Amino acid sequence: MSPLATKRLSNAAALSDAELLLAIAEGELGPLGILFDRYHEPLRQFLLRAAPNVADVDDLVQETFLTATRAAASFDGRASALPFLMGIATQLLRRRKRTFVRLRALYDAFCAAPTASRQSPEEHVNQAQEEALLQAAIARLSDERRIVLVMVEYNGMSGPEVAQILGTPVGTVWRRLHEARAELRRTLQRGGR
Amino acid sequence: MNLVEALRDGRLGPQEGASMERHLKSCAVCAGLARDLTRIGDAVRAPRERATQLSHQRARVSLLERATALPTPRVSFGKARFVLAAATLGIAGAFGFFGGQWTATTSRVALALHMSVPPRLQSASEPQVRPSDDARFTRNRSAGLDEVILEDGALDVARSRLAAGERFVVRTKDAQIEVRATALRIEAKEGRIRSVAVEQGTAEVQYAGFTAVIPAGGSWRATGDAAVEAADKEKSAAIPAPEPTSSAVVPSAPAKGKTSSRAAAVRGSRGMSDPSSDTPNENVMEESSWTGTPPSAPTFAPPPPVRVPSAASRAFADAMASLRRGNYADCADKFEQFVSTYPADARADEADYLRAVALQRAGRTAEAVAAAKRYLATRPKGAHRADAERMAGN
Repeated sequence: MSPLATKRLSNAAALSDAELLLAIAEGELGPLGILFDRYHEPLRQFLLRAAPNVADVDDLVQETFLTATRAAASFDGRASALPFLMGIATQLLRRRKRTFVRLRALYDAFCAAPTASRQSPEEHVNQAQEEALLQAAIARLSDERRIVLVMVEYNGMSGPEVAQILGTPVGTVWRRLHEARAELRRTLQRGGR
Repeated sequence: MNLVEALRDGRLGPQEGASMERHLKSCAVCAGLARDLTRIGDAVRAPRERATQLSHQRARVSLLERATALPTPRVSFGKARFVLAAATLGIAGAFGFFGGQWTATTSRVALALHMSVPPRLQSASEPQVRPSDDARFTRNRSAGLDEVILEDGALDVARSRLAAGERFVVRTKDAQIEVRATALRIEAKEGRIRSVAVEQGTAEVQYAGFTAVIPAGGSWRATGDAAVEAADKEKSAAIPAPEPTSSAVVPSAPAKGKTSSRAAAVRGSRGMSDPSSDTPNENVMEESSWTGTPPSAPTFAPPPPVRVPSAASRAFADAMASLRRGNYADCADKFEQFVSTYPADARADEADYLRAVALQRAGRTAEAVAAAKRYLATRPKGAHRADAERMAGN
């Protein structure tokens, strides 16, 4: 390792995300650990919400960071690398979905999915059950709608930021967000409030 | 519902927002909508299980191991598909063999086994090397290193992404080209490098003690002329250059990491802007046009398709460069300018927060606190609210 790199690593914790990713792009792996420490939990929390049907969220988090090492050179230098990592995670989710969609359909045909029990109006009054219904409804949203919803409601991102991460027009972001909320509102209304 | 949503998402102006809030107090239907939106938001934000410190450390170690591990022979996706198809045929055959007596449970187990195979998201691809008719070269492959020694002729190299720990290097007697590109052409004559032209990705050329990164669309050419080289030596001796054997490369930003301090980087539209550089990318490319370079020097032809960053991107990069150089007062001014000039830019949130950071680092604590408070007041959904609150002393 060059003296410059050693010096840089000695105070790596003080480096900005852009500097860390630049070092990673140059082949250093020490900064990857720093980046992981910074964004492991935020990214994991994002994926737990954006991909509730994915069993191996921790594996997806690791894949995201591994992919980030290869894509580090394309980081645009902004202050936080979280949107960059979220963009990678979203692409991995899409790819994983494409890869498994056919097998999943076949698998589902053999394994009967557990059906939600019909609940009485009295049960619906219970707030915990309503919460469970809402969470189930969020899990049933399409990935596109759910990811936008999570980015806006959980990560507090603006429409233009989400559009930049997903590579879609801002109008598409607002539409997906509106559709997601409308779908969830219908669940709330069916739940009897 | 749209206006209620717009209010929640901060898409209404101050007047519209105030008007809508007044309306919500008097309209039960819209107030109900707003409550539903709040409940939906609360459901999304409902706490999820956090990783423990131990699991975090395990994941960290595992990640670094995976990142440093040399690529192991893995079944390619194509082979995986073949295996999957064969297994499917086997299952179908078994169905026929048992005359349909196979129970659904057995099928579930077999399918579940297939489902348990982790997906191959990245396939390590083999670099494709197409030599010209007159090319003479040797290729050695060892663990993680694919090395081509080029004697004569041209090689067209096409490869997809590098796996972790993989390297692909082309060497001549006088140069080494680290291929990070997905498509490029390298020419040599009598063991000496002649040119490198990159179509996609990047390539790093180490030649005569210098390192240059060639971006997508860029090319590099070495011209050998002993007489001019001598003149070049004289010229370079007049310039405080540490390497008298070669005229220099592009006077761009100081390189970092493994690139030596005298290395020069030419970064194009696909490359990452060097954070410590004052010069935007397009200016670097302009400097690389070599108007005053002696003919013996390695020359760079600027790539024709250069994406010019927007004024906002340049302003943001400029402010970031000041931050990294430690010019915090200058940086704070630039971020302030950025926020006021491009309030709708996606990076305005970062800029506003980083202004407070820069002021704090400049020792202007009172101003930093004021900046953090302004951030909290003007950005109710800002991404850095937690940090800003700490900075503001809340």
